[in-house]
Amino acid sequence: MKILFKIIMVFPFLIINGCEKNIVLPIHNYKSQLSVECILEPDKVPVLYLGKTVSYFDTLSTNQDLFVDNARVIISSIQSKDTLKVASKYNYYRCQQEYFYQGAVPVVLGRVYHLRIEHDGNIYEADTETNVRPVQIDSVSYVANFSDLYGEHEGVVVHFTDLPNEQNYYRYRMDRVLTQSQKDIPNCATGPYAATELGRSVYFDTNVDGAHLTIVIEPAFKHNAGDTAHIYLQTLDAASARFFDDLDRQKSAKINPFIEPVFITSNIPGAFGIFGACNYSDAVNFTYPE
Amino acid sequence: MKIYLISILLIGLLLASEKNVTLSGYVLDASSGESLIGANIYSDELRIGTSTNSYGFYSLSLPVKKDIRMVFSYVGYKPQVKKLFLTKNLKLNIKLSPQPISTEAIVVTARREDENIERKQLSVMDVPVRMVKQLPAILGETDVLKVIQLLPGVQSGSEGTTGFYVRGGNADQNLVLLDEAVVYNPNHLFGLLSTFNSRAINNVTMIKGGFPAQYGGRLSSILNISMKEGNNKTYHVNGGLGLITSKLTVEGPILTDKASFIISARRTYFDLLLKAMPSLSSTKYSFYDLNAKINYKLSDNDRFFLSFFSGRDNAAYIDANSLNYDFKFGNSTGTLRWNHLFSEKLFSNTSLIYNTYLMNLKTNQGNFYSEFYSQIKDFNAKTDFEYFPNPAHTIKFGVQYTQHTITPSGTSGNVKTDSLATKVNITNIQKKRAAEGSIYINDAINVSRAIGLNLGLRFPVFKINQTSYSGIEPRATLKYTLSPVSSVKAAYTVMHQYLHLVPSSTASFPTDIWLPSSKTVKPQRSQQYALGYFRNFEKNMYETSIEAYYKTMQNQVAFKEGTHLLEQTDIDQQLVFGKGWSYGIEMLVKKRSGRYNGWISYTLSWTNQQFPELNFGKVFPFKYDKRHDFKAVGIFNLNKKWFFSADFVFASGNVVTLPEGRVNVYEGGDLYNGVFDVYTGRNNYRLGNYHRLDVTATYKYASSFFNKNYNGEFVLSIYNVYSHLNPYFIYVDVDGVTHKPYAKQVSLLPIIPSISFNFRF
Repeated sequence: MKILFKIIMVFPFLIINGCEKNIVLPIHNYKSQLSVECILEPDKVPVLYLGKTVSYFDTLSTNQDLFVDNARVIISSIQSKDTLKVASKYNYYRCQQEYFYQGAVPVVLGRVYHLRIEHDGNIYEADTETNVRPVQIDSVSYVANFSDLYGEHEGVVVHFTDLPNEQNYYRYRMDRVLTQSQKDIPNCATGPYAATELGRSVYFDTNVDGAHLTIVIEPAFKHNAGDTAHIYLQTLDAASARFFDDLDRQKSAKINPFIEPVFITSNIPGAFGIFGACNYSDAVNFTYPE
Repeated sequence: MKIYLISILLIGLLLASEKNVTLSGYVLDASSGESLIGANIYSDELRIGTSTNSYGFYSLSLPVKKDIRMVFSYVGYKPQVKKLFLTKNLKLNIKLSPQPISTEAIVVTARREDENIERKQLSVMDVPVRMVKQLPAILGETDVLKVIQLLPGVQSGSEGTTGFYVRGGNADQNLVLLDEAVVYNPNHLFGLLSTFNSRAINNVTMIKGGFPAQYGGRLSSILNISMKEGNNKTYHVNGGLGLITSKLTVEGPILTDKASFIISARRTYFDLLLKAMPSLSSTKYSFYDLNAKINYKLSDNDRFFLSFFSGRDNAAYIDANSLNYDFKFGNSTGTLRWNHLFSEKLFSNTSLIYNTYLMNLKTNQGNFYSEFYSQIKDFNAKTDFEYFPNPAHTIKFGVQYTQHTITPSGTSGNVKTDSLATKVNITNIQKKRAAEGSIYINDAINVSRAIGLNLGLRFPVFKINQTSYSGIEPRATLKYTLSPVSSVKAAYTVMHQYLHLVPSSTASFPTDIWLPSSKTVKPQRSQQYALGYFRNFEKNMYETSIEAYYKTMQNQVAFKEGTHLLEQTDIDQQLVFGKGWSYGIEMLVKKRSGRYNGWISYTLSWTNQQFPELNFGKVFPFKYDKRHDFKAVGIFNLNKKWFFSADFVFASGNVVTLPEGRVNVYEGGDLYNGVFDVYTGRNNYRLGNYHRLDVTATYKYASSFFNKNYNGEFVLSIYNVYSHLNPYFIYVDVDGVTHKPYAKQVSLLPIIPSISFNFRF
């Protein structure tokens, strides 16, 4: 009887405790692609991140590993031609130097720009138009408790009026200076650090064209009462909006097993990535009340 | 199309005018008085025969003859031979006595020995309940759906997923009928067991193609299950004690030979066992099902049946650091039927049916919360007629109407952990009401001894709000007998489906939600072509067949990539539409009698889909596309006390969508820069092969208990004998600290031994 009882007791354990183990997936013949990211902003010189995608289980992972430094990158319009050069900056979060291509000719509002990348005998081309108008923020406030799809949290509340008679896509941006006493300052920062917090979510004006809108954003960096920041609204063109929305939804799908996986759409034939345009509202000063 | 319809009617009417007499009646179980479905009535001399319908009724037109020998037979029963003096119409009810299981002659099929050759239908399989009880049990439970999954062309999903998949169709494309009521989710325990208590079942028929016109509303298969009627002569109690369930069935007469009842209940005590294990106290699980039926014979021409079924699963798992869930689902059905015999040649059945299905799943993993809620209520009224004008024709026609009320919703998001409070406000969900109706006519025609036809037409209509759909569904099956032991058959069918279960490609739980067709969601439509060759050997002891099929499926439904199901979202707007197609070959070798019997089946198939908005518009394999599917089933009767059985399954793994590449993204701002996935194709990876061996040993004996004789049996079963950890799902990720990518496989069911005890007083 004891044996029978043991069998009975072991049985539900076997049922419930499934087995999870590391496996080696068969590596498909993955063909690496160029990875391009370039969002043109009026009055700023173009910055283009050029890397390559790698097989999922490839050991290469850092910017230095994946940066493509031997390409010829040209961004041109009817009035200008800008051959981008390799540049770099230090990433204080990853504690590493990161490379990109940078132009010398500031982008002008209302022009059609052509991207041409020559690499390994291949040519990659795309066009974008810098006709994205900025939207102005009406006001910014703060809410201690706010519930939305992402749960209950504090929020920075941005009030603005949608640009009428056109399709618009917005992202939120906050610029702050983090000091050494603050928890979220990068490990490698030796002094005050100018952090940019760009919202992952893309807000579409579908069915609310021209309306007064309010968006609430959960701050990413911890803060204290009296901390100050500059708040912006970024306006994106349609291709960039779709690209960043795909990224956002893929991120959600990746860690939520109840959502379909998201394939990211590129607007550069033959390559992964985006060649698009954006614009920014004027900055609005904001002070955390708590 | 008109010519097609008129031809059916004219041929029937012309042949109906021949001079014949009609032999009709019921074939019944002598010990219980229950109707025997699919019993065979046959004249060797005239090579004319028929079989009883779903109510045990038969009608056979025969030439006037003073001395004719008729054989009445049914699996597991002693056949009866009657010499009849047929000069006028004759009503003859036959009572067949059950035959004890013999070690020498176990007949596996329910039909006449060459039924597979002569039947004017393709892709039909009868599953005798007696055989279901002989095959390996899981958790001590013999299960009709597990046997169905062992048939060629029928595939199970991965372990832990619900439903079965027929010829490349999704689970929702199977019409599962219990006493004519639709059962939307026929599963317990995440698909490990079905809701069908084998002790309450009388007959099971599976149709994969060549569908007769009386069936519609689904694209891929019909699984027709009839409940037992109850013994109308004596009272019986039988039951069983298993590791996680117990069941009890009581049946007996209400009025001897006039009315009877059966009540059969099953409940798990899994929840009680879990309570006894502190380490598993965070898990809660229970299920039950209840079958009840009353039948009443008002006169020789009128019978009434009232049947009821209810099954429910309740599961929960709450652990602070894991996947938490709270899951409830269940079906309830009620059917009132009236059989009326207008004459020896015209039989009718009128049914009023009510059925409900409810599913509510709340899950929480890390900070992510998801809730799905789906409810369906159907009211159904239908009348079916069977007209037997002469031996050459069996004409079926009828009409049916169903009122659907559907409540679909889901929500998904980020909340604090350990919260499983309901987020969906059920009262605020907009209900969808739809009406579905159809009329049909079908004629099974014996053109000659060699050639048989089954021709049918069905006209379905569907209306929801201001949107309505209708269709024409021609059905045709041709049988050509090559020799007494071989035939070829071909079939063409068109089917429409107005209710859709939208499959989620990533969720591992039965979270799929039923949706009605609408202005946005067009009805699914299929066309299926099938061709088969059937050959028996050794005096029909060995049955073999090979069938090829090609099926196209239009208006297939899937969720958009990255869909979040929100409470306030109109789910129709989250859907994308495409097409699918499936083709393959199914082979079967079956030994029908002897001490050793069983079958081997192999299916080679391809199923693909194409959606303009998925997978960059390119073709991709269906989620349950399995290239190879091999099954072997064996039953060995050692003696009158012991028998053994085993089944072995080998199948290609399911497909899954995994990223092939990785890319760094920089333009998201400091905080969100990171690694993203590059997908090159949907369902681009295939899980490892699935294989499993199950065995059962049964010991039977007879004894007495308090001076009451009873038959008892001990059943020892082992599921997954060699404990192969079959893949349930796999996932990949990048370690947040080491930045190294990894892949993990999750498996569910290792070896599961079980023992059960069954008795019958």
